Amino acid sequence: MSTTLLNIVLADDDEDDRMLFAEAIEEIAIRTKLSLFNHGQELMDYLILPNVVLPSLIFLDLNMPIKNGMECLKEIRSNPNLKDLCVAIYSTSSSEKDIEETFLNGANIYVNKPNNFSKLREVVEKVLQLNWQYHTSNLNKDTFLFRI
Amino acid sequence: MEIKLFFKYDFDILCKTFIKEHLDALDVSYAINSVNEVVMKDNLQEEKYKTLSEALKKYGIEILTDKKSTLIERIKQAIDDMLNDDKNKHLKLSSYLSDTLNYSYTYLSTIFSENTYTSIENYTILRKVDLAKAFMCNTNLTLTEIAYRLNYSSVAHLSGQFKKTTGLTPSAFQNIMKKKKDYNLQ
Amino acid sequence: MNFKRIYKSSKTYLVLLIIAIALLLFTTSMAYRQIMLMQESAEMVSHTLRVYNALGDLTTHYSKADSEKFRKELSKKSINDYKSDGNSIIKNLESLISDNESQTAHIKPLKSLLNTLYNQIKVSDSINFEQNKQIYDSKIKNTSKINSTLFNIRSIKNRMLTQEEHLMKEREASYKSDKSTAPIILLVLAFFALSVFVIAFFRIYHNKLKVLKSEAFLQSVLDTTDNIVNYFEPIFDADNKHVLDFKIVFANLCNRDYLGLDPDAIMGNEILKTFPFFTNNGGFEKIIESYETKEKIDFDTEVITDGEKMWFHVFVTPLLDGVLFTARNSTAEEKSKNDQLLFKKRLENQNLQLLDNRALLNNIFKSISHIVMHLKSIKGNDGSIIDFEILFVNDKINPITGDIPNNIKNQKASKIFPSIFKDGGFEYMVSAIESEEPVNYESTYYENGYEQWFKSTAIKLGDGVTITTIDITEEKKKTDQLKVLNDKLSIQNTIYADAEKVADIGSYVWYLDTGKAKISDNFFNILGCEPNAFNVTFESYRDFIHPDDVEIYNQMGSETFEKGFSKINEYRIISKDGKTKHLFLNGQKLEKDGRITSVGFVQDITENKIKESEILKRNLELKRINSELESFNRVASHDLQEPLRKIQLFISRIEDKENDALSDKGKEYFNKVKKAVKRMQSLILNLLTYSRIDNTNKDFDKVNLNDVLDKVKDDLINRIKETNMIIVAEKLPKIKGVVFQIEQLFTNLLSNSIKYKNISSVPKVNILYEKVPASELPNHVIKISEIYHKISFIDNGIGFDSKHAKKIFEVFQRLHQKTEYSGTGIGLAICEKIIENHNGYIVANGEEGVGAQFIIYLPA
Repeated sequence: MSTTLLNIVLADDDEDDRMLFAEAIEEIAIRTKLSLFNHGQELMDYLILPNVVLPSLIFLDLNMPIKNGMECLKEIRSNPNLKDLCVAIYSTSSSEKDIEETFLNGANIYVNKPNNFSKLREVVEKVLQLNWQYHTSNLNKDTFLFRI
Repeated sequence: MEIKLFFKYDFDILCKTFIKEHLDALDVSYAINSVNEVVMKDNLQEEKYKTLSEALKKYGIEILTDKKSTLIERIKQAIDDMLNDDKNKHLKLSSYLSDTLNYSYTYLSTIFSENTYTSIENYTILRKVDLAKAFMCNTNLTLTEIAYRLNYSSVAHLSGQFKKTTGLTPSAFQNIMKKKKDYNLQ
Repeated sequence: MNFKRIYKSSKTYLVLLIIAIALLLFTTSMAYRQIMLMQESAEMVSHTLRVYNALGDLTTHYSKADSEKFRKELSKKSINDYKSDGNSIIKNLESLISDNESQTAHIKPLKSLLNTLYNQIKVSDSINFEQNKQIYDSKIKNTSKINSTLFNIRSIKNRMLTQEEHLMKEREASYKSDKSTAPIILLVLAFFALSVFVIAFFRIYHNKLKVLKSEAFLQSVLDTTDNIVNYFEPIFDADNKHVLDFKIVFANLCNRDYLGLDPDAIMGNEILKTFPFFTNNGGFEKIIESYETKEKIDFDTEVITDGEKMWFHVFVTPLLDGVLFTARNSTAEEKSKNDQLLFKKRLENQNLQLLDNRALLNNIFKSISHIVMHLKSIKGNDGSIIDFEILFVNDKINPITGDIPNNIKNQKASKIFPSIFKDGGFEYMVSAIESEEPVNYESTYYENGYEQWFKSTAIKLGDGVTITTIDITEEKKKTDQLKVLNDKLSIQNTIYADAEKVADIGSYVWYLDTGKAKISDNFFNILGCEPNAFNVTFESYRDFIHPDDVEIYNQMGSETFEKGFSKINEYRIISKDGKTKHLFLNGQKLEKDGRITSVGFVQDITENKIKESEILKRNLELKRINSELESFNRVASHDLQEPLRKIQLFISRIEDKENDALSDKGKEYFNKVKKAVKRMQSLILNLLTYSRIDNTNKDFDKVNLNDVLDKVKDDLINRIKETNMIIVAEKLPKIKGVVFQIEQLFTNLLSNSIKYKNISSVPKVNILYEKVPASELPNHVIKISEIYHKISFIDNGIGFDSKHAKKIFEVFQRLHQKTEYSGTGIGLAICEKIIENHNGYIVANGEEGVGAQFIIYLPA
């Protein structure tokens, strides 16, 4: 619905990335509420809070200190409350091996961090659309895999 | 030693049975038209409506009140029907939808994109790709057969659209799904 | 032959006679018949003539009616006469032609016609008045009627006549033929009869002559034969049933010659009287038997005449009414037979005696294992012995020389055993004779290429010598063998001991029943002792074991005692001179002379152990360094990428937001910044890729190169379309490898071809494939397979000078300015590393201005 608010979460250790991401989200027509986290541990702590409103979509950077994206992903997928969340890996790495590994560990979307802003905006919009479909249509969650 | 159980769901039967049970419990006369639509023979009392709504909410089932969302659901349902029906899948989407739902296609597409952030076409493509994914994982059908089932003109067409939509080639996708299965078994 | 018999037999003649008679009768009857026929024909002819006559009469008769005058003159009375005339003629005719039906048919109309005629005449007669015209007219009518009747009669008569004529002709013809055949047949008959008679006559005459000839012949035979030939006819008793005696019907001259009986005198007599000796040995009975059974019988009979005994071999053959008696004088034969018999008997006895003697001798010779020979000396002109003749040798000679005793008997020794003249055998034999003492000696004999040794004893016998020989080859061989073996063993032992020293091993035999052991010299060496320095037992050996390994040693000991072997195969010892040594041992359970032993060796592997641990250490070190390098590489690249990305991002942000505020120069500067950043990025990316390729072979999957090519073409689709590049590829194989590395490889090669395209022509890449043997690869490449896949990427770009072929694969090596062609110089280095990772080989060659070739080999 156009009235519903999408809860989006981003965990990235890079300040500039967070900033740019937030700017990109602003420019997208979909109504969103964005939460930002500096590293994996912060994110996980948040997610396991009681009565937390679970986000519709989690963006995870892979390279983070303390707890990196892969570890978070594994934890999310092994947590019964969180295992059905839509997770998008958001990383600079374009190594096939890494990409495959993220999918194996349960990531739904793999996003390569683009190098310019307009592409960033495009990508985020696309991801949000996909995410919307994830939640509202009877798409198969097990095969919900996309690479952007 | 722990034993794992694997489930396959037929949502059609599941939802219909479920709704049936709940409606029976309320002692109302009804007719189930589809997974998304039930016709009440008499007017439903508010109390009963509340009970039903509460009960269903627990399972994540929402009774749509908004006329627009109902329509959208109906559009989605119609698209699903068309894709699954051997006879109808060759029809042009726009004409099928407008015929089935009795609205002009322009109206339908505007309502759809306004409320779902996607166009009907995109949604259809997404759905098709999703079905293709299901076929690839759950059956032994070849790509050719899948392409035929989903009314693609050729395997290349299917592969192209698949890649464009998911960012992965069908074989890469199958590869990952296979590895996932093995990985999960460990 | 059968035919002749038929020809000769009398029966034939009988048959012929019968046939002749039959033929004769037949022809006679034929002749008779012909004559009869002739008669008939003649009668027929005359018959026809009579019919003619009758018809003639008829004609005359009715022609009379034709004439008017006659009709006028016809009175009533005469008409009746005329009528009766006619009737009689008709009757006559009728009787004549009564046998002919067709003619008879004519009679009836004829009769009626005649009657009509008579009536008409009567009528005309009655109206014979010429008074009135009517009557005249009726008369004319009547006349015409009469005429027509006459005409009818005539015509009938004519018909009858023609018929008769016809008949006449026929009969004439048959008469003619009959006329001719009859006499001919008669003639034939006569000739045939005549010829039969002539033939018969000649035959009889011929036979008569034959009989005469044979009679004469028989007579001469009988007279000239040496045998008695008599012919007897039987004399029956009163009942004519039994034969009492025989009458001599014929006897030839020989009766006189042998028996003194004159043939003429005895012919007609009874045989019992004439030949009384038949009764002696059943001859008479035999004759009777022969006659009665009609079978030929022969027998022998003895005759005594005038005091002389004679033997006859008699043949009795039934012949005609009696028997033919032939007797051959077999006296001489009988005599010689008897003599022979006697002689045979004597010989037989002699032979039996000889056989007995021989059997005895044979037994003797067979039971001896020696060769026994007797030789007679052959003396030369000066009286000295020069040779020997082999008189006897037993069959034991055969296995030795292969000679058969019979073959060499009476041969000279110089011929059969020439070797006795070389080895002194001859001299020994001579001395045996001359010294009259037995002589023993040894000799050799060469046969079939190998040497045989014999021990012989020679004893004089008469003027010859008897030698007994026995084969001692085997014994000699065995003694020689033993000597050789002994020598070998001692040599072996020395070699073995040296080998042990060189290899640093010591061998042992450990008797598990007593715990004692025998160890080799080098084992003592290893222990730091002198050989045989002490008694080696399980206990005493333990003193050498390194204190830390004593446990293991004990365990090994108990396991070996129990099962015969132990899993423990290593322990340390401290030698007498204080050195710690690592020993490797390998022992097997073995049963030796009924005792259970453990046999094996120990090896000093101290050196090896040291080296091993060194290698291990170094390996670990290397691994550590490698992984450090890798992670350094990765992290560095990644961390280097970050700032670059930021730069790009923020520049794009600035461009978005402040585009209007920028001057042209500003925009230009930003572009340059962007380009620089892009270059750095690609460099880092490539470095990253390069560093990522590692040698973990276990990640090899099945890779379909065709799919890889398609994917790469897909990824590069934009650039391919821009440049209109054509890629032509042969069907590529499936290999084992890392998918995305191969994708990288193909991407780099194809991108290069796109990048370094020739401006003047449409860029084209040919990808060729063939299977080649490993021999095609240069020698320095380690080959892990016999067959390699050879894939060639051939483009028509700007190419390069082949002398740079090796340089281009080096990291950061470029052949062009960075302003001419973009690129980091790592692309081909990455390709090479990928190929190396897949145990393959890559080589490049090119020609400037023509194109470049990159050939990769991957193991199949």
